[in-house]
Amino acid sequence: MTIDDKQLDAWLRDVEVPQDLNERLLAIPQSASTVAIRRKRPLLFVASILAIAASVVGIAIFVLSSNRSTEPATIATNPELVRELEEIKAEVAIIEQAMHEAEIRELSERLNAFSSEANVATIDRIQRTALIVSLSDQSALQLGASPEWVRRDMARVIQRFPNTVGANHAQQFIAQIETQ
Amino acid sequence: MRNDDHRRRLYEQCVQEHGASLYRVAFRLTGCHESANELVQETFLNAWKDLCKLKDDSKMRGWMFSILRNQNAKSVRRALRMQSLTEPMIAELADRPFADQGEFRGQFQEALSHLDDSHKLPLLLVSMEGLSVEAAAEVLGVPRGTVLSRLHRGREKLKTILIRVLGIEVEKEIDDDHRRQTT
Repeated sequence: MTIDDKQLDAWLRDVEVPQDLNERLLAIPQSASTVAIRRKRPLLFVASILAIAASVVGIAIFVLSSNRSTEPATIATNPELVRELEEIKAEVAIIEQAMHEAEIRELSERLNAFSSEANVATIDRIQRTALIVSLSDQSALQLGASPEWVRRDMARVIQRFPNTVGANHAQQFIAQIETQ
Repeated sequence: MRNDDHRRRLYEQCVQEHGASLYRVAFRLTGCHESANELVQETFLNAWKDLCKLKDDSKMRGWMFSILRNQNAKSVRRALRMQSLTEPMIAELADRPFADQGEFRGQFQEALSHLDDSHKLPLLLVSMEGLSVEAAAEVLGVPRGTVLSRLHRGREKLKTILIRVLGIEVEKEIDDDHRRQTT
């Protein structure tokens, strides 16, 4: 039996191409920009926290340097200084609250994005908890936490919430960290 | 630097003109639709990111095949590094039949998988996708003569394997017929 070149080329070309291939490929630029925005967001978050922290430190330095004595006894007896320090304390509390809210917002966005992509809109509380913890770890890594710490924390999610969406996500993420 | 409109138009043109072609090569390289899909998506994602680096639009086709080739090499290396694959998982993957195994298409892909990439790629680019020998040489980074000799050797090797596979199939059918007649 012999096979000629023409026949061989025809067999080589005999591959079924998915109907929706072009549609999916055309969507890549859009999804690439969404991913870029998502990647940028934690950096913006860190930048804003750093800016706020810098301004607080600046205010504190200004307040303390404008008073010659910073001894506890002096501070306690100087009503103006006490008032200024109270204001700084209140400001720090507001910043803490803002950070907390930003973190919640960030996590909530991640949770929504994940559940719509993975089609897991209806999951129970335990599943949701596990998912949130693992998404939070993922966020922590992007914010600069050490991969080793994140890996350990995700391993705990897998151990505490086995066979959940969160555990699966953690498992996949650990694998990703290990391959990087 | 290309503006966004031009970049997007060029990308769309690239999808329309070369999407199917790249998919066919990706399928022949990976042997399954799932991996081919992934490989083509990664190739187009990289193309979108690096489109501004393409100096000559007429070289788009060869440029895309170069990205696909590099991306495939990366995917193979990544798969080899994967630590999370356990032995039973690997065994299961190895035992999983092709979707169309038992049919000629499955046997053809199986035969093709016996060729190494240096012989397979010239066949896919020149014989299957109609690239000129010069363009294939550029994609593969080898001289024109090397492409020609590998093309010839790859073809002959594939034919030999196919004849062996088809021969086995013919014998098997005769056996099955014989069994049917005797029962």
